[in-house]
Amino acid sequence: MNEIKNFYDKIDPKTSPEEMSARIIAMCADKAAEKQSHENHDNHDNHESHVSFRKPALALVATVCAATFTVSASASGGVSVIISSMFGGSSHAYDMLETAIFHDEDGNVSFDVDEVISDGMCTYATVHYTALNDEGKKWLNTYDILYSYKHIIKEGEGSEEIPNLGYCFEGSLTLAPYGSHDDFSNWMLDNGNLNYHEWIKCHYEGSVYYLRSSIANKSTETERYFYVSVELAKKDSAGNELDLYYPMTNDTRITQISTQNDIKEKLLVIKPERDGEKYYIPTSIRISAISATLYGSFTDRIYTFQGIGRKMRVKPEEYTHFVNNTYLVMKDGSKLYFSRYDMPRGEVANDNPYSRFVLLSSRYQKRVGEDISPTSMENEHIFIDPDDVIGIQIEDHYYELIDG
Amino acid sequence: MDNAKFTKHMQAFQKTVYRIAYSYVGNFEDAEDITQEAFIRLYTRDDDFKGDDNVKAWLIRVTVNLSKSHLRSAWIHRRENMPKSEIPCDNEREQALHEAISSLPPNYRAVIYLHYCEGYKVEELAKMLGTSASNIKARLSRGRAKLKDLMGEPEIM
Repeated sequence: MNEIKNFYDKIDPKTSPEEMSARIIAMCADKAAEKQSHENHDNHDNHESHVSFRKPALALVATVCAATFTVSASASGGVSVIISSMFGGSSHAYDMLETAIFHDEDGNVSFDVDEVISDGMCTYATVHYTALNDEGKKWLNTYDILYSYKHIIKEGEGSEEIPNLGYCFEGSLTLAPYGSHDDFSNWMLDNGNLNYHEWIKCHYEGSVYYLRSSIANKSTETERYFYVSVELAKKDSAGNELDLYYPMTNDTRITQISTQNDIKEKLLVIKPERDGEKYYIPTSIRISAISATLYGSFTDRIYTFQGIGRKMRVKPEEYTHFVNNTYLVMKDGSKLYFSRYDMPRGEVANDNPYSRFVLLSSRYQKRVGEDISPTSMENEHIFIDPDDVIGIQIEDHYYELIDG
Repeated sequence: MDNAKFTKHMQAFQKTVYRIAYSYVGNFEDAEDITQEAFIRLYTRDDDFKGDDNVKAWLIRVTVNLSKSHLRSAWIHRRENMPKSEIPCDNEREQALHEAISSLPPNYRAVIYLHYCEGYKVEELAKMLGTSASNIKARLSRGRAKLKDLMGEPEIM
């Protein structure tokens, strides 16, 4: 214990508390002054003319968003299509969306699951709450940080993703594998080794509610929009359903969301070969229109710790981050970034789970030369045809795909 | 928030916030950014806290969420390789411990830090991080096991 404490005692911020404190106070004072100045300027403009564009850039963005959502709303029977905008408005993605999934109310607020897209491994959903009375409105205000973020973003100061709101209210909005939420902890305690249940928890933890500006901008005083996602290492054998736990004003409720879908998917074998001194070999890949999972194995279990130059026997599960820079190579020669997450690999554990790796890409991105905005979900994902993928590239090495 | 009170909180909790952020992102520069962001939120927060413990717990929650957001953000996935920060080590064993801790999953590192260095109990951590006590116990237990495994000696704690 002391060794760990000593280790952390060496990690100190470069900036002293006094310096950082002074910087933040000055920064916030400047922003407040700037905001006041904008407000004064806006008021002045208002008095002078009703037709001037006060903030052209923002006005344009607002118009584009409004147009997108208006069209989407009429096409989907009143449901705003946020998810298809994630895919750059792709008509293929739009066709795959399930909309107007679920509705519930408790007298104070109503809850709607608006959209779901899923290939069984990755599921994205948007939901929203609407206040039905003052009590409901008050309850919605427990989501205060979202509301305040909306205003920050309007001022053009938002520069990052909005963190999840798990800490803002009692009960949380949670999308989890079917039946796993309540008794999962017990399963974990019952099973000390990597196993089917463990990966659920591992991943479930790292892949919950995310809110971005495009969701925040849709929220009003009486409505709150949320984006929920979950990624699995394996298709749910319990019947293609996920549990959605959602808090209402007096309790937390649960509903099931089906992940059955018609999204195109292929399982391909990777031509077996080893890249030089690398100690991993990719073996197969599942590719759907929205996500992919790369499976592979490790070739040895000895790692040289650079700092001490000593070889030590390690469990290679810790080192899947060495499988860096992975791309899908398309027929036209273009490459899509495989935005990957390491997955627990219990489901392939017929022999030794530590000898395998499972990497999930929950989205494809055009990486080189593209500016990916962290503040917006729009255009963040690419909807592909799995038939267009001819190979994968890991680091500088190209691997050919063979139909399984 | 009142400037004097804010500075007092900064002096009391900056290191904790920074070390939690570092536990997640493994990089000094990003940890510094996250620390600053967490304190900006504290400074601009309207609500008053009932005590320093509440401020600390709130800061830890915000820092954990900011760190997770950071790891999940589009920017981080665009980086070729996340630069790892070097911590000065006095001897080989410290270096090995550093590498072993760095190899743990981020959420294990954070829980180990909060439990062993900040002294939070399992139940407190569960409440603070919005998860179950058994999950925290499992993270601690597996984290310890992995450290032992990687250090190659049975006793490090």
